[in-house]
Amino acid sequence: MLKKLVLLTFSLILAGGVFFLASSDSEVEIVSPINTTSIKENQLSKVLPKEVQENKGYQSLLASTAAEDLTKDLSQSESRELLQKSFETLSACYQTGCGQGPDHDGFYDPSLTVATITLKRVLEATASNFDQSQAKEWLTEEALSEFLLSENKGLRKAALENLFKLKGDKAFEVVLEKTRDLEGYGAGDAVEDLLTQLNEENRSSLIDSIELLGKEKDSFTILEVLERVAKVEVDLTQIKQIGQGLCRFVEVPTEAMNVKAMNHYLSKWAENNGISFNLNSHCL
Amino acid sequence: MKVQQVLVVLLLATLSFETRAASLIEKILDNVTANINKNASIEGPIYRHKDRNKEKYGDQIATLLLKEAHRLAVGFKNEGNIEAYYGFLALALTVPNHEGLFVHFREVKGKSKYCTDSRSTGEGILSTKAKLQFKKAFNGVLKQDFLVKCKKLEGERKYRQLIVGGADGSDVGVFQLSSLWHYDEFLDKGGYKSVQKTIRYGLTYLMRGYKRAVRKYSAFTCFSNEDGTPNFNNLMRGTWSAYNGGPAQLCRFNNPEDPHAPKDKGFKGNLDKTFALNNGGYFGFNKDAELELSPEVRKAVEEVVDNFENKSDKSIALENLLAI
Repeated sequence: MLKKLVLLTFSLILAGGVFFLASSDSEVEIVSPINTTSIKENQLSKVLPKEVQENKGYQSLLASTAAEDLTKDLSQSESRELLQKSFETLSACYQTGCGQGPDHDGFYDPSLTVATITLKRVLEATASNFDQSQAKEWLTEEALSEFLLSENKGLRKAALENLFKLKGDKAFEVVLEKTRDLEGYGAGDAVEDLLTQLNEENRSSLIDSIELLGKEKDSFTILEVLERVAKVEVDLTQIKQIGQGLCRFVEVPTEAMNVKAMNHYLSKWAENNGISFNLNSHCL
Repeated sequence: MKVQQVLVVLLLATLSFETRAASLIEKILDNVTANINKNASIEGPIYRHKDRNKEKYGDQIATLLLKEAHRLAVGFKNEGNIEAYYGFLALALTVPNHEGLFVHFREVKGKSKYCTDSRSTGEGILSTKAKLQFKKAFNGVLKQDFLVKCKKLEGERKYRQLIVGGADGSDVGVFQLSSLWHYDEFLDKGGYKSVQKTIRYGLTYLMRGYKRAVRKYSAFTCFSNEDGTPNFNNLMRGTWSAYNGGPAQLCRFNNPEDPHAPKDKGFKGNLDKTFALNNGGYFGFNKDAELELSPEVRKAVEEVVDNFENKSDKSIALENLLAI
């Protein structure tokens, strides 16, 4: 009896210990360990120029202040200086994080770095204060259209907003031209934004661009665009032309899943316009 | 006789240890929770350990997860990509378990042992930027305090708490969203005040990685089977690697030498728990913290796993759940 009791007691102690250890392993992400040696985070204070650091709005910029409050208490010249100089500096380094590296947990997302997010706020503030910050004098079409390539949706949107303020109606063609260089989510978002400016005159330019994308881009990019155009007016000839560019995927075994998706979005698009279209039949 | 008495005491102590081990989830949560202002309004569900099953917490969280995941993934279903659709739903049932033990808010008795100031004030946060953003969101720098120090809760019978995990307390909620990386679109907008909004934001970020991986799977050797078809188990594991390490880490799970390999292995353990759901497996962090599901929700969850495994689309219970 005594032996049994001893055995039972120690078995339970052992089992309890094993259970505790097993439950404390990396299946519990919430208490993940930390590596303090790899922190290379916010470097804004190191990269922003003297003019910005001496500006009244500098602390707001560092303090993640929302775009609408960034220039709240600044004069016209202070606003311009803060926005222009920050824009120029950050746009030159944001793609490499302006010195920011992975955090203590090893995470790094270039679309969410401090520099990218600050740049987004700067452009949002510029769009809201376009005249006051004299943005026409320092923002360029080239610089803004580069941001359409960003992985950050907010930054793309803010750049687009400024582009439309800068170029007016001509911005549609600029964006359309740039869309041909875009990949993945960026391409889809750009097309979605263009749809808000769509009219009878520029609609065929958009269709032409989609046709070009279909011929040149990877299936991920094409699908991002096709997912968004279901409501655009299109005729059978245009659908066929777009479909023709996609025939290059039909016989590729690893693209089977994407071809099925392309067929779905094209058929749906055609159907919305009273047309019947099937990609597989078309490409036979 | 005396020895026997000592052993009985030892046995009872051991059983007491077992009881404590049974509430391991509580012990973990005790270390990763911050106290919410009693006047703050929050949208649950709220996890109460003892009452979780009486209050159908499992049903509530599983339903929210499946509805939000469906909203984001239904495009795959419409395309006829059933595996991608159910894969994402299964991922949605796994990531918040792995990240936050399916808990966003919890409620405990108003005792001092459940209250520490440092998690509420973000004092332990290593990154100065993350700490600043944490304080802006939670400590009333510009807004009303959402997280408060213990003295503000003196005399309260109950504490409501928010999960702020990670080793330094900078990761917020059931999806463990970093105060450094997810400030503008999540913390600053107050998404953490609602479980549903937190799930929506977390799953949307997860979908960014998943969709890219699914569409471009053949460009990554880690996602292809030998015959060139997509390996969805790996796509799910890779999506979490990228969620945890950033978009460049999609294939991290495939490298056992990677410094973060133990985390990827841990995630696989939780993914396996999801896959066991149609085989009598439990829903929850561990068996002792099981979140019981009503037959209707259990069936819907089982359908997700069944359909994923069999590449089928028989989802009567799931459709009913989504329609509510």
